[in-house]
Amino acid sequence: MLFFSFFKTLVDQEITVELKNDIQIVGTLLSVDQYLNLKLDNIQVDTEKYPQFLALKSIFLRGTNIRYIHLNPSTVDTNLLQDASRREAMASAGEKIAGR
Amino acid sequence: MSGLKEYLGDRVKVLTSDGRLFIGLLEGYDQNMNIVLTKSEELIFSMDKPTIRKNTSGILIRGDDIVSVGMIDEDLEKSVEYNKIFATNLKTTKRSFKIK
Repeated sequence: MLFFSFFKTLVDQEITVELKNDIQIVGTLLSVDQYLNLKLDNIQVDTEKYPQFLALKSIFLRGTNIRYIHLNPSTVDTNLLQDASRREAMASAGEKIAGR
Repeated sequence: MSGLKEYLGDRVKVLTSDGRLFIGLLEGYDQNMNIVLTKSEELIFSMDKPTIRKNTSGILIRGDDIVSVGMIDEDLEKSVEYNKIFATNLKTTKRSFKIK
């Protein structure tokens, strides 16, 4: 759930998504769901090379086909992210002990 | 999976994991993201022939195989001259790191 929450903080930011078929899509993050499916608005793609993306403004990307998401460093609070991941790791360790 | 809700009834472009592109009216979808397109067609791109539009009338696409669903901007779409477009097929998103 950590990355779901993390990506929710990036809504309205401009991100670059690289898909597993090597296509890069730049766009404004509209929304994200639990599977990390993304919705982008005002997308920019190299349509010379990939005319498949002509005439598209808003796009829904299936999370399983995403390879990388490039972020602007200024939009990421690394300290907060480190903290959150430690807390999540602690919580899941606690769950394992409690579940025995 | 609320993401596709606002595309219902609209003309969409669906990219599949084998690199094919389908256009159609988004008639419905389910929790596995299987989707149904009506009045659909497949656009086949190639380097030596202009784009072929193949009528498929209606189609159900398995959610697993979907890469992206994009909402078509009708005004832009009208100005696209597919009969003048030559392009390579997209790569598959499967086993994307495999070196051939």
